[in-house]
Amino acid sequence: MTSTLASDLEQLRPALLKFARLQLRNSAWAEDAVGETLLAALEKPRAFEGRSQLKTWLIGILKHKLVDQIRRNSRELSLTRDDDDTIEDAIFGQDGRWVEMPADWGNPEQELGRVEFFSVLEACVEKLPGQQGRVFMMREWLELESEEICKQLGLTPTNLWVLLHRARLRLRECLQLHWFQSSAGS
Amino acid sequence: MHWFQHGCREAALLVSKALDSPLTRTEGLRLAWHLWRCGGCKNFSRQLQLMHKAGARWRAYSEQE
Repeated sequence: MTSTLASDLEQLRPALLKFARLQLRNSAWAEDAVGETLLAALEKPRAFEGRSQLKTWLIGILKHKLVDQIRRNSRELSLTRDDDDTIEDAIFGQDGRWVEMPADWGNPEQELGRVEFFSVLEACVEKLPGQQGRVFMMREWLELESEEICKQLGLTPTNLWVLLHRARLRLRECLQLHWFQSSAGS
Repeated sequence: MHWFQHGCREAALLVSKALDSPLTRTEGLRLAWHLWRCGGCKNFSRQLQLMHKAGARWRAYSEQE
């Protein structure tokens, strides 16, 4: 019984690690958070109907452990700065207008539910500079409130909006290039 | 009339900020006015809404496989 759980956990481990890395941007912390998650799961095993229920439960634990890691390392995190990111200077001209007008993406409801879309999205999130990636994940994946993120990372609200904005500008560019452009062509 | 000193650059920041915290009345009015006149920023606003929606799906997907 327990050994089955252990092997199920082992199989889910890479998926957990992927999200922990995306969130923390630090392999050692990510390993710790996942380790703690798996240990917590082993310590209070429950019966699950199928793997997907088990995964839902594990991700729930992982999210708590990730917040713990962020708290624990908040001092170090508050020192991380994405040194003068120039994304906005590349996207907007001197006159403040778009260098390239944002395209109409339409409303591809169906497309956004496709597994392939999520892999592109994950690859794009992975490419974000460290602090931008962290705040984006904290906001969109951990679903933390802005005040909480500011507190944990030692940011002012304005700092946070700018970071999130830059993250979104970058993601948008990345999705445009690797999803909308290429799927429009096919 | 120039509502934004820095044009679309400033409008885009407000579009993004609106996802995280409510805009002030003045910000909201200025943005609405700008979006009404600027197709690029209108598209940008829709793109961010879409990304936000996609984020919710992604969250659900990450939890359930």
